[in-house]
Amino acid sequence: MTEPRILIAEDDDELRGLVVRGLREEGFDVAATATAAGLQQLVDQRMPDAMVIDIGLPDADGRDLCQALRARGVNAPVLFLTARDALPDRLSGFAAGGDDYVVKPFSFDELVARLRAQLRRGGADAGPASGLTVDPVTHAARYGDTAVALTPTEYRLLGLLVSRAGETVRRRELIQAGWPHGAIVHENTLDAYLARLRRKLRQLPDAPGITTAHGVGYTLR
Amino acid sequence: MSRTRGIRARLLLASGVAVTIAVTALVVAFNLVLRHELSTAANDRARTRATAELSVIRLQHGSLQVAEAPDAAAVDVPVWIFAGAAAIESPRSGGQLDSAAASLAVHGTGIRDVGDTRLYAVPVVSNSRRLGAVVAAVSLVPYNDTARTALIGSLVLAVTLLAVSLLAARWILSRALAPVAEMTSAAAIWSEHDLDRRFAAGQPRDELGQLAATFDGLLDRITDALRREQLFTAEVSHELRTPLARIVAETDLALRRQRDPANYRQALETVERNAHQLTRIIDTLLEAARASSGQRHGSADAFAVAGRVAQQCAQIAAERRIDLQLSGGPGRIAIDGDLAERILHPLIENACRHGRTSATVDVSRNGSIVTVAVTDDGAGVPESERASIFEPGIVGEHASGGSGAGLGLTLARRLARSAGGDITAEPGAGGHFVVWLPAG
Repeated sequence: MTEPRILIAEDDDELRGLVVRGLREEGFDVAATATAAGLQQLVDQRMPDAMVIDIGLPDADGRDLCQALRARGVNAPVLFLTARDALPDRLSGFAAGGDDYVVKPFSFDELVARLRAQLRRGGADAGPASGLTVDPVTHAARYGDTAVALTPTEYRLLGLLVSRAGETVRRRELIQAGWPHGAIVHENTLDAYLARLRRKLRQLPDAPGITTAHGVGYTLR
Repeated sequence: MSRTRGIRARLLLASGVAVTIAVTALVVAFNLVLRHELSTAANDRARTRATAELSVIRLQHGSLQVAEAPDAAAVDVPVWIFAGAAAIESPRSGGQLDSAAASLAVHGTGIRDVGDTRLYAVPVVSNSRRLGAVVAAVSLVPYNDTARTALIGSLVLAVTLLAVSLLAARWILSRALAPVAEMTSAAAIWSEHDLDRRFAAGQPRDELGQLAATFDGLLDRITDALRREQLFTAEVSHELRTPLARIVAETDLALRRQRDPANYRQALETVERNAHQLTRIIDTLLEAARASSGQRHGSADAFAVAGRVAQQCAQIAAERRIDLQLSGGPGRIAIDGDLAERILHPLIENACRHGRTSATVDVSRNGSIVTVAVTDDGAGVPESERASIFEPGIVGEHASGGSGAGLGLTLARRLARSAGGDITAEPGAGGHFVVWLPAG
């Protein structure tokens, strides 16, 4: 059996170097990058077994990156590195499709233990790909050759729907993903955003649409 | 709540005093007018009787004669008829009234009250000669009774009116002030537990609507200030955690297994470097706290400070092959040199990081202001980000995850403002920031 492949996206050069060195010593196959775009390229090269993503990346929010990966059907476990430990910060990572998080400064042993735990559980293989992709850097949704620009909130909502295409996503989960700072969001606001998202998706020919499960949530199909 | 009750008591007292004064004045005026009217009525009655009696008096042979006996119907109004000082007709009454009537008759005309009786005298005149007098007596008892009844009645009415008006005022005030009390306690609770709640009463139609709007505005401002503070704190903690995370990771890694001395040395160097960075960040934060509490006074030359900062950034500039130029002349500022250094550092460092080939720092003095313009030929700040780039938690589009000391622009602006200056992002082809500092 080959060594598990771990991808790391961390913008602090020194810390990234340390994590790479330490994980290599632990026997992992490690590749690292400083940006969200870089991580997506690394994923394209070879599917990872797990990823460690810093939330504060220079070109995109780590959580947006995670949603984009999930939307592409990449289901390898994601472990967030974060310097922010307020409850909404931690919860929003899970809402974006993260599996675990480690708060900086972290103990190296803890990082390794959590990574191994995630690897044991393993991510299900590529899920139902809807053909719709989202870009964490430009916040655009793409289907085939056409793309449409989204606001950050629309991006997060669509990202969650795409990553769980065909499945009804509950309203509460959508709100947690869409407003990661723990803002108090009115039910009508969510509906208004979804209506706008629907209109934008119609601009993409043949792209899947959003259906409403009344009182429950929304589904991308 | 106690404050509301205080207002209610004061308003109640004021309205009570006003109503009492008004009612008292009314009662007094009413009774005075009534007494006067009753007195006039008694006089009228006596005069009518006396004048009626005059018509039955005849002058015969130089002396007064009564033509007929007094009217039986008017028996309740006794009448005396005097010819000169002698009574030629008198009722059967007491001596006191007789003597009083006689003394009135001497004067010929007048009014006198004797006990409960009023005496009214009318002179008998013939050919301009006073021959005698007619004196009528009217009992004042019914008039006094009426006056007393009216007084008691009006007093009872006044007290009732006072009580009713006070109760009504109390009720109205309680109803009017209840929303104020409710809003006050709601605002107090919200400001403590739930800053996102608002009255949202819409367009204010009355004073309460205005109060609600004012409360909403106040809560908005508190929420804003708190959010900004939370963002800033998060940013500070982020800034402190990064070097700390490096130290912890480095030491953790070094201690995991036996290493050779070179490895340990490298680990210790990392720890040292990051410990220094932590110290710099903490110093900057302390500087900011001191500056905002107004404890820092001093003066420095902005040009010399800019030169020092440029030197500190020389290494980054050299790594990125940036030509860092310093221009302008001396400009004395009313700010401590250390503080000015911390304000300029992130700007000059950013220019070195984001410039393509060159970065310029220009110091000039305009009257009471010294400006330090920091420009570079990099991508610049898009117009949409010119204001938000100073917000905590905002990373510019072209920012890179450097290892700059301090909190960058957020803290620099905070420091500049607390020292009476400011930092602005100006439009331009590349990055263009201007620091405004008070001249010394």
